[in-house]
Amino acid sequence: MNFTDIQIERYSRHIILKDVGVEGQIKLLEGKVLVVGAGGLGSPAALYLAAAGVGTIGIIDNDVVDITNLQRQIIHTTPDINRPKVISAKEKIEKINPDVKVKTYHELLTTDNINDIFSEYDFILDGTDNFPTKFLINDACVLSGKSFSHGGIIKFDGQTMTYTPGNTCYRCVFNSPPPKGLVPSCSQAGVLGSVAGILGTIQATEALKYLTGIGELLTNRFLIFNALSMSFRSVHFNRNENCPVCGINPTITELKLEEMPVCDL
Amino acid sequence: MYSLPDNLTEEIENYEALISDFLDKKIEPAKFKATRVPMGIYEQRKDGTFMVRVRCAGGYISPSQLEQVASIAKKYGSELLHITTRQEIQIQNITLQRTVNILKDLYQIGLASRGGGGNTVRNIMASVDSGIDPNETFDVFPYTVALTNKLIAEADSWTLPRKFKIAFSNTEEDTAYSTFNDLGFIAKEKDGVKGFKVFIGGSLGLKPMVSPVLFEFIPSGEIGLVADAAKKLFSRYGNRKNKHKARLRYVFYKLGKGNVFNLYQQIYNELKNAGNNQIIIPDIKSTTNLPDLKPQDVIGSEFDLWRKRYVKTQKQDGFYSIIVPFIFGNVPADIAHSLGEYLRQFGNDVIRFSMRQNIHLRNIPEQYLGNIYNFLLKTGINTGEPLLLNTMASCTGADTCRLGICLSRGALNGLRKELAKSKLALDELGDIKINISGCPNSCGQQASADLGFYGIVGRNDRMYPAYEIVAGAVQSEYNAKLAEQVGKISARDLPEFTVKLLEKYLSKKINYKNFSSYIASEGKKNITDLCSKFNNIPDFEEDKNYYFDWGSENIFSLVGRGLGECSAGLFDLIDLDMNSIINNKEKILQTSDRAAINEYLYAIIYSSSRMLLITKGIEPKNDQELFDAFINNFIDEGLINQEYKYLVKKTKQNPNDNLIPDKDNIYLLSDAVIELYENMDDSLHFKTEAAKPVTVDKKAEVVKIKDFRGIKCPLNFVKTKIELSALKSGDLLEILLDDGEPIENVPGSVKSEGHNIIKQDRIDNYWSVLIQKN
Repeated sequence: MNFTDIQIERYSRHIILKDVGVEGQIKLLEGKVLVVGAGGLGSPAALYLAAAGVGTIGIIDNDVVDITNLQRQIIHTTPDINRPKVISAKEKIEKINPDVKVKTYHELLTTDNINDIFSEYDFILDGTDNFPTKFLINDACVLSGKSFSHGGIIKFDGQTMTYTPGNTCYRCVFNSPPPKGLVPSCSQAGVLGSVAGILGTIQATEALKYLTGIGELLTNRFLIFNALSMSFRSVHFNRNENCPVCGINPTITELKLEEMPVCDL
Repeated sequence: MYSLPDNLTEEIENYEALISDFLDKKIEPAKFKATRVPMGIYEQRKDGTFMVRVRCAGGYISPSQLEQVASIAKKYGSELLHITTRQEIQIQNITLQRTVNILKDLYQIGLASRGGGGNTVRNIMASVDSGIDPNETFDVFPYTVALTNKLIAEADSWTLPRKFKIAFSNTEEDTAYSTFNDLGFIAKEKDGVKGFKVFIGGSLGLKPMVSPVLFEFIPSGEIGLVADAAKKLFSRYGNRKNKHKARLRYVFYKLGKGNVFNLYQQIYNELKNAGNNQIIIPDIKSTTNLPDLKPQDVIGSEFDLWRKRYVKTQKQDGFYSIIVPFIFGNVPADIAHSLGEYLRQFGNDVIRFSMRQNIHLRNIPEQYLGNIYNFLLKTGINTGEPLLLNTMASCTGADTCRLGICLSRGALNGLRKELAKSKLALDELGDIKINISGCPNSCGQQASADLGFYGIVGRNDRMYPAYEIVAGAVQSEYNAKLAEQVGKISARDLPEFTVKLLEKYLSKKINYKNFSSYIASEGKKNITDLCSKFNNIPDFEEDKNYYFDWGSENIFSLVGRGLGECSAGLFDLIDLDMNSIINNKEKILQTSDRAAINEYLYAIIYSSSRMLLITKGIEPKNDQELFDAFINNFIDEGLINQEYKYLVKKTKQNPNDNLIPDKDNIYLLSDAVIELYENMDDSLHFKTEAAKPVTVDKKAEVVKIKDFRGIKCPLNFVKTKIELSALKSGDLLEILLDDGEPIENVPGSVKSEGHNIIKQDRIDNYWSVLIQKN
């Protein structure tokens, strides 16, 4: 493919990078990333993916913008209140970078639609706010051999890992969702807005690394950070041979949503 | 006082054989050095000049031993003895061949030098007043001797990862710096049992550490077991690969105190269960003689002042201790001889070397104080100055030490003069410890001082000698603290600065317990304020004095600095250049003055070229030699890529050339050197993985010419990359670039991507650059 002069200028800071260069930028423009949830994590992630020139960005979210979202979901603005998040997000992305093709899914991610939707993308970015969907994304990716970035935030803490086929999956580490009520949701516990920005941005970085094939992904390790002490730790996890989805004798062979979401953030 | 180990004669014979092998060039210098240094024999800064460091456990030497050491020194051509800060005595300025005679003669008088240097158990220190101090818990000297006897007889005391220092204190004021040693013992009594509080892991030097408490109390019979376990811990877990990080404190930094203590406890238990941990505490009978002399009465204010300054009462009624000062710890062999000879009549327990490099006399009956005073006067020993002037200490500095940056002794001399000439009430300041080190190593023990200095290279347009200031160390078994960094001062201004600071302190002294509590309170701020008055260093043309170190007639330079005797110093030297590279890069970021940038770039090439020469034992005498040595030993040897050769050559041929177009390459060169250093192994070898020299493929042809004139940075580079991406490896691309920023940046960036710049030529006001795709 040939860059236009405008593209050369737009992506010059990428092209200059030795590890990205012309080839890497082409991969980004040809790349397809699905952002699940246009919320705290999905907002910064989608903005950076768009700015970087990821050619196709899918956004799935069933919600409309609520005023309580605006403290951290930076892709939405005050006039967007009550509008579907996917529409609000699509408009911002197109303003940032007309090169990007945005596909929107104003619906819940379910066992029924997940495989069809995922099949259109190279990489899935999990920006969801509830455990059942996180496990669903994990299982769908493991079973279909797709890579994804997991992310979660609460209060001042964040964690993220990247799954690629053959490596440690989310269920290797967390066998199943925690009992209802054990882990508070963001609406109950609160979250510092910028923590969402930090984590979503890390996830976007993982997506960009995955598409361009550079660096070392957060595979087989969790990156855990606490914003109060501003400390980052990377914790290694090997594959779990007893993992119910990717272990030696898997018990999960077809998708099912474990439980209804507990939080509407 | 300590007992010589049985195998010492054999070791001395071994050493003798090695000397002749070395002189016959049958063995490698490095191999010889590995034996020589642990024998306590160091090479001085002047090539071919050596010194022998004599072990004196607890600073003890008998008068007749001192007399004989002086005789030995004179016999082999040395006029100078030197008291070290570890309470030893050194015979200096001798030839290599004679060191072995000296070892043999020392053996005859019950002294040894083994463990004076290298990775060994070093001289064990004891509080200088132990045994006579009215406030002491008990006399720790017998334990110092006992532990010395045990450890110097054990082979594994000579094969540790790095040096291992032990000290015994007789009071809770920690008068022997126990908490700043690898292993420290502070005398304690519990239920009538003599014992020690034990500290482990402390040391000065870079990244110093105060020891944590290992045991609140051990009975005195356990010191051998405790020391053994510490030695084994160090031997097992110390870093043998990187001498820079080898001291015991680095085991603490690496594993954490809890883990180290657990490991220690395991070893301790193993040894304890194995039994056989008895240590024999010698029953030391110090004889105090009443000499066959007629007591002399001295009357007069000078004698009274001397008594007030230098004479102290002992816990033994009627006996006195006397400080005999030697500036820098230097004792002319003649004076040492007379002292020993004269003092013999007072018994065998009369002399201790102090950590402040003086001789302390003890057990002098009151009626003979006059005799001693007259003797000192006659011998030419300084008796009329305030104590402070004679307790300030310095390392030998760049005078004799190969690692020295500044002439610390010169600075101390300058300071002495300035203090003497000042109107300060110096007798009020007698307890202040001022220490000066010529380099960031801690031989001058500045980190344990009230006010300390260590030599660094100051730089404005050129180098000048300078010091970092540290202050406020606390010695105590409870809240020991290292002196902290508080400012910087040029060597030139060090004396005046110190006088001003002490003047300030005197005016506030009444409010404080001591100098360190003053520093802990407002002193630090006073120092900062004072430093700011001295931070304008005049240009060379304006005042050349700043560019000459104290006592030197040459403009300050690092020529002569070389491979250290302690190999740790080697890394300090390398770090010096590495820091210079980093600092100059920072300076470049902060200025847009092209002349300045050019100078900084030159400094980067210079430091990059010099940085690792020392690993090859090369000490270039001038810049030309330096660049040549770098080319010959690093570029031509394939350690550094050939493509930088032109740069170094060009810099050598024309130091004033415009280097700005080569900025990226200069940075890459410095990165390559630093990377090489990081891959250096313990024996100073490098992984030879430098890229192969660039050769232009003859068959390749210019595939494309692209005109990027008029295109600004970084878009010209972006376009270059896009063009290159379409070419295949080996193809040539010629680009045209504007002068200025484009030519200064683009070729280097292209190169950093792994492509080759075949040539770049100026054509009128623009440039043609020929690139070969990698």
